[in-house]
Amino acid sequence: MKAPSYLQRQLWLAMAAILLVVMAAIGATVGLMYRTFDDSIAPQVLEKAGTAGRSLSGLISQAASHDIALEKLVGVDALFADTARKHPEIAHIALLRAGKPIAGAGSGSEVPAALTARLPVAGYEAAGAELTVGIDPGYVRKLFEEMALDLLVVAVVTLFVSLELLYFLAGAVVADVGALRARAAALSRGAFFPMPQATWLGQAWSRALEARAAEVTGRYHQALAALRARWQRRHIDRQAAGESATALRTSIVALRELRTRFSFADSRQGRRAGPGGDAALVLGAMRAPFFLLLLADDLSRSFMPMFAAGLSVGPISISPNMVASLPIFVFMLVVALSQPVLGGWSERIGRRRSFLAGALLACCAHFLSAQATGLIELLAWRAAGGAAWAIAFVAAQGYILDHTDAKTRTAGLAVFVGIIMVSLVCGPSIGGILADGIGYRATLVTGGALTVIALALAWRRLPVDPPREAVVAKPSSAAVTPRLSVAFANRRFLLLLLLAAVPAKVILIAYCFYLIPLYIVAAGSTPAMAGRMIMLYSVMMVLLVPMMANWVVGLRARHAREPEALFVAAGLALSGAAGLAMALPFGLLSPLLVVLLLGIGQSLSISPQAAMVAEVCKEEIRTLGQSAVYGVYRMVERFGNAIGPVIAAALLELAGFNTAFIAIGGAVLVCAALFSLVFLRPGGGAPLPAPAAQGAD
Amino acid sequence: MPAIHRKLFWLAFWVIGFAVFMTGLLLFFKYQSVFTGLQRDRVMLVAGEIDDIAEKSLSLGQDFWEIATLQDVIERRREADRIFTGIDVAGKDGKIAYSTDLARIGSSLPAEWMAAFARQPRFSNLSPSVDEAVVASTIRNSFAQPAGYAVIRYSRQREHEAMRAFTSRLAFTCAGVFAAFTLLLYAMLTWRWRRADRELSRAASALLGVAPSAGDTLHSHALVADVAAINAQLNTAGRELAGVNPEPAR
Repeated sequence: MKAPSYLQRQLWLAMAAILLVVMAAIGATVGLMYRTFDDSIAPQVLEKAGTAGRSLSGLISQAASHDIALEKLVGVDALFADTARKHPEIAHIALLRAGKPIAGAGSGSEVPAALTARLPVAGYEAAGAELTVGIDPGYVRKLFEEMALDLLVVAVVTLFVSLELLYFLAGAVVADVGALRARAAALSRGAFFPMPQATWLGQAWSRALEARAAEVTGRYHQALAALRARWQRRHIDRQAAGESATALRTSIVALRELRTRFSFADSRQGRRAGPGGDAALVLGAMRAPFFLLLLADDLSRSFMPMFAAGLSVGPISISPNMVASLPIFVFMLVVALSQPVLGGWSERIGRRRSFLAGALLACCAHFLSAQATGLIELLAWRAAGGAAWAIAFVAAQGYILDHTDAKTRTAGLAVFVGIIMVSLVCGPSIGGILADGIGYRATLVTGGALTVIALALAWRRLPVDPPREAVVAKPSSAAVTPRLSVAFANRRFLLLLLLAAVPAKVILIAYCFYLIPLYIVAAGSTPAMAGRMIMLYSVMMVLLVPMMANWVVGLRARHAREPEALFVAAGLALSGAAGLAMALPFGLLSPLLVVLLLGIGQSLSISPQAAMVAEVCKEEIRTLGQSAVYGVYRMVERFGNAIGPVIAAALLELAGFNTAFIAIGGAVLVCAALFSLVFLRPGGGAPLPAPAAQGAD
Repeated sequence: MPAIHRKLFWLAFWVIGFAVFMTGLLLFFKYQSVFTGLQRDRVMLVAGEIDDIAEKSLSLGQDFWEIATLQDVIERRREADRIFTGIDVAGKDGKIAYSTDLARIGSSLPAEWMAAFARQPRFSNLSPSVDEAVVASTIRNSFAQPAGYAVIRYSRQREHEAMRAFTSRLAFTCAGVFAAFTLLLYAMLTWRWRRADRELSRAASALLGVAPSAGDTLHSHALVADVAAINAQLNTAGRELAGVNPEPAR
């Protein structure tokens, strides 16, 4: 494994420092507020203990009215134990006679007198009867321990948000780090052409690299000029030609040899400047508003089913479970249907205009969703939200495609995917916490506020679109409209879609965005817990997807056959097996296990599945182009997103949570088995491309 | 302040600001839920007692509207806690049968309260106004059918006072932590930036062949390797360039 560069290590150290200080700040806030919390809550707990004590005392007094002697009372211990069990802040309850306990529950030895309520028992005054209720001195500590998960979520989210802030506030410094790394790497490989210089960090290093490169480049140009002069002299002075021809040929061979090993001119195209200006600058400007738009939407992921289920459905006869699934279905369906047509539209009207249109529509959709009182109204605004999401997505993707070339597109799209994943890490978890504290509607309003900021940032920072003629002259891959006939014409592609792509999306959306939030709330937990689960899935994807992709690349390099189909089958099988985990009697640990297995399964299959499309559809890609084929693949995949929650809702309605989880998991396992039969049987897997084809790739 | 320092300061400002704000928000939500939960539980205990007494009377065959002891019970319970503003016992249609405020007897509970009570099997709670909250316990007859509700109205004054005190303390603490840790993070980032910049300057000197002063040698192994690799490429290129024109140009 290649050792990280110095600058890479410096970035990691800076991130570690940020995480350390963030955690210290969170710890300090919690530590300082602990005493205030304790001091303020303790009297309330004591008052509650007093009320509970009065209630018990009243009950015992009833025995006195029937002249039952104190020592003959039965069931007092059980009564006290039941009360203590119902109120976790009560450490002990005891009935005393002349100061000595005759009945009790819990241990009172560690409870200080200040935290104990003492109450006389009416009717038994002569016997010196007294009831004591002591509160648990560790009660507030336990409350803080319960918050530990939330605080950890805040720390993780802050780290991810700080990454985005780093790009937003110090994008130029990050760009400098990238430029210096690229410059040093280029020189180490023998590329001596001029590259952008650092302006914020390591200016001396940047100047030195440039000076040494310029020195060699200067000598190269001198040598070239001298060679040219010798060539011209050979033609002028015919007599000398005979003598110097061999030496000249040797020099030309040496120059050719030199050029194969070293580069003196930048042969890369379109990397630095696009129609809208510098690529890094444009992508940096798009990053923050795009992140905020996605975050606004992801805030509602952990509670949208519950929010929808609580709305009035009017005259429509529909089960609450189906109601809960409809907002996700409508959103995903609009995304699936609109994205193919939006590519061309976004290109025609311009990336900036389309992004601003998406942001404006998102603002309206979020604020109006927050005030929706009926299901139909919410569905209309969620459809608008889906359209806004798709518009912003296509415009942001368009920015990447417009400002990168074939060599840099993968890196550009990795940044794009990174923004989506960071938003999916932060949104549901923070949304869950906010929904717990301020409610669903206020959280949706918070999402709306984020879209307003996104709109303002996009308005200020996104570059003006180039003239329309320039756009027409340069067709982009994003504008290619996918044709479903591609899928039906190629049987293997159709099977890849139906046995892998669609089931993977169905199970993901059905579990993560529908069943798990509903299950967790039904099990007595909160939307914050649902948000943590979704966050866990996203964190796993952020960490595992690149690892799995590297693993596939490594296996491809070492073995004769392609491992993609095996990874897709294994990923599907794991995702399917995730659902079976709900059959285990682990309470809230079962959905946790579901998320873990689903995360591993999806990270195994996502990249290889996309790579398989290129292999299965070689002919279609050659004739129709890569964008058209991948357009079909993405569109069909998104239909899986849309139908996932509806399938889950129908199963939930028919047979309950466990059966819904297990049935979907079982169906995906069947798909995995069929997929293996088709793509893994001998002769079923695609052979490695011929060396010539590999070279062409 | 140089531009890079400004950038690092704003980075620290927003990162710590976000972390402290979210932590403060969590503490606020937790305090609010614990405080209101404790108050609600207290009220529920009393509502449960009234409900038990009413159910016992019903089980003995008494008519819901003629439970003789219930008026005394609710008046005694009303005095038991300072936060109680009133106790009503209403029939399942919402008509008040017993109340600590005699003027309310015979009137009806608001329809939205009844809708909220009907949704819960035992206890319900709602906040009809900023200053008042309501807890209700469903009274069931011998056939476990709802016969009425024991409804306690209580003041939220103490909750507001406690929340105000806690919030001001929280804001003060968060502001202090935010200021201190923003400066700490800014100092750490600036220190790291300076260190990296100095090390890169040393690497620049090494690449240019400038002899380092005492104690100013390049520390990073990765940079030493980078300098060596770059120098190797430059030297090879230089040698091969010399081979392109072996004879001096005339």
